[in-house]
Amino acid sequence: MTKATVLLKNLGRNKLRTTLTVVAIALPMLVFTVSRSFVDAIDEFFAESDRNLRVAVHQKVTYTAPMPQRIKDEILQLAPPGYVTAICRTSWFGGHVEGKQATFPSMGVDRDTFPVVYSEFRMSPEDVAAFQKERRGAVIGSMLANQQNWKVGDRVTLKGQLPPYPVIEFVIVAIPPGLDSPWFYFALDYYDEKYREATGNPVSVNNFWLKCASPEAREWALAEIDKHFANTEYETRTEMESTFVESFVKSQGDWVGMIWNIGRLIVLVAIAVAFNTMSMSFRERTREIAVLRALGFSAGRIVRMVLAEGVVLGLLGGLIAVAPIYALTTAQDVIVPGTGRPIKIAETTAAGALLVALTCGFLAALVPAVLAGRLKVAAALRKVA
Amino acid sequence: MALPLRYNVLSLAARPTSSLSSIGLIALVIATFAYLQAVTDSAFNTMAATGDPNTILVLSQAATSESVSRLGKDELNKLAMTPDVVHDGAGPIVSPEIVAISSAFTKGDDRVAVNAAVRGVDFEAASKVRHGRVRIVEGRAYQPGTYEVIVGQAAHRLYRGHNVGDQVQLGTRGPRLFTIVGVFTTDGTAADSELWAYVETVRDVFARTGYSSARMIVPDEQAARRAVDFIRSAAIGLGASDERTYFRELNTNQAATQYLSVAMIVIMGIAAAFAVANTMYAAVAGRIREIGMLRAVGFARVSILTAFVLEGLILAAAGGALGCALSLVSHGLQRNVLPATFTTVSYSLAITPKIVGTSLAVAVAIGLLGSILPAWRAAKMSVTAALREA
Repeated sequence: MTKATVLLKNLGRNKLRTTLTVVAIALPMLVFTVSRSFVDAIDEFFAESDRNLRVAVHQKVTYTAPMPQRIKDEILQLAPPGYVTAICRTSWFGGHVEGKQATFPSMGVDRDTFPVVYSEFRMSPEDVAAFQKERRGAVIGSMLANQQNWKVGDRVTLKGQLPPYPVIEFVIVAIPPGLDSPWFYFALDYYDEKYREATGNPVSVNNFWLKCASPEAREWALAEIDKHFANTEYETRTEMESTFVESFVKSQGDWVGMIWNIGRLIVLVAIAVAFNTMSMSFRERTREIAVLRALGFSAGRIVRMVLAEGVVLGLLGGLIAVAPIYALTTAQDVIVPGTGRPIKIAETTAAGALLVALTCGFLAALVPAVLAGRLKVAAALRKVA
Repeated sequence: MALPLRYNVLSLAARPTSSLSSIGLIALVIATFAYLQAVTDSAFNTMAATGDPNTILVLSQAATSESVSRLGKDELNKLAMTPDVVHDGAGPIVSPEIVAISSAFTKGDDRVAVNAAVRGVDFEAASKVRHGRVRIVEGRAYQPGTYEVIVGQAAHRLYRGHNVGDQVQLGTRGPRLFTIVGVFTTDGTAADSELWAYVETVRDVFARTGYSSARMIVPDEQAARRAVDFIRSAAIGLGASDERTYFRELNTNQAATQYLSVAMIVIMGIAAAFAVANTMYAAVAGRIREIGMLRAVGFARVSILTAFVLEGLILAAAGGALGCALSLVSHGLQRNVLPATFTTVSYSLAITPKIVGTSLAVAVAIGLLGSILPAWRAAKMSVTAALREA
């Protein structure tokens, strides 16, 4: 008999217990894996955001405060040549379909610079041309399109959230492949026109999004723009896109961080389950181990045997947790309720979870293994189980 | 005849490692569950406590929240005709208020600023329409006409540099320095996360023309309905609801946390039940002869079943109680939520009796689920076979 056969025989001795244990290890590992994937998604977002070299300029007081549209030209004049590739102004609309509860983020944007500043949305030349041509045009995320059952060419009427709460008709011109969010972007000049009709004033903007040409250009923007506007009517705060987004994460109580903390804590459950099983099977096999020792098996070999059993239990639990969810989420989108976002499990996360599961099994087997190694053979043989 | 409880306790004590690891893991699962419940419940309770059914909140007609509502002074004057609202000597008690958004750094962070609500009020009127719940707990109220501000207790705790004597910048066009002269509380409502200053001063520094909202009070809920109907009618044409309804309908984006906590607890609960089952199966297997003996001396199958289920329940109850005790560590911790107002509301977690009750019920369910099959196996054993077992 090989060592592997002995190991499998031992695990197969109480099939019910092994099954229950493996599943009870798998479930916490599943929570661990999924909660880690949320953190991955945010890390990935921040990493991409940094690659995009975008910074936001808004009023110092807060990102929701109004700014005049003309500040864009002032920033462009201020920037050394070649530093700022483009500036896209955004003006919050917060529209919703009248009579429907569902809300989604919407804002007016500069349609000439939008495709450049948000190049990761990958608007095709046709999409860009359509957005240029259609004043009432809207570019929307595929998630919103799916939720509302909207497609290119549809006319949708939204009511704004801010005074004077304008009701505006839009035409969907693009659902670009790189935009999978629930966002609704439309032409700022069209918003401005409707706003002027209602109030006589130009619409104000909230943020100026600068696409910087290089990391040095971004450093310049972060350091110099606020200095220029200090002690003016519109004092600014210039920040990286990731910092801007973190503000929302913080205000919302950072629930991803919370879930991840729980996901990590819950690994202890897997350890406790495996420990329980390992110590029970050690207890039941005390005499048997003593016999093995009496036959000449070394203490080290017994320790390794028990540890290997724990590791295999952990690994099995890990595999049962990770393999199906990894296969499922790779094959199709599995949406997390309440967030509208699909779960994406990276190879590294899956591998990491397996490693954690294996370690859990190892840790759980540690005490029983040491006890087995230290067994007093004569006393154990005499013991009635 | 039932087996005495002492039998169960002793048999659990005979296998301390297995019993304690089961109790420990149930405790962990239940503590997590209680914590997640506290997160969602406390956020909801803070928002709900904020809304008083006998306070009417008036907004502009299409506004979905106070921070995007605009009321002109002439519109405000029309409210004087509202029926059924509480009057004082000068007419109906009305508190016109301005809600503006500022930002502040939370303690321990000087990089990411979050949105904070600034409310312009007439302190006396604002206190009246909040049924006298507003109290100054430190310092004093602001002097109207000066750049003075008071901060809510939750804001005082959450934000860096928001103590009495500190200065904060407020306003949109060329912010002004305001001095914090006091800390107030509204008994744990969302207003505790706000900064309050004199209404005219706030209008001035935030470049507003009218107000955001107005509050009035009514004696009871029938009066509230009549007043709301009147304000919404063509004669006035404004938006209105009682405060409680308003805060209930304000989206606090808790759906994600709620779904996730339910999913988590189902998954973790099953894992814990499986672990209990393991322990109980081992307990049954180790006592086959004993069970045979008990049956032989006259204990019925149902007594055996009950005894083993009870043993699982004792494990679960101990784990549940330990878990609730562990969760108390989170009691009083501060968390944030960003409602549809775009301003941060800080709330403290509360492990309420309701949460303890639900958590214990879940623990009992785990115990029951984990012990019923092993107990069934013990009960259906034949006496002779069990006695013959080595």
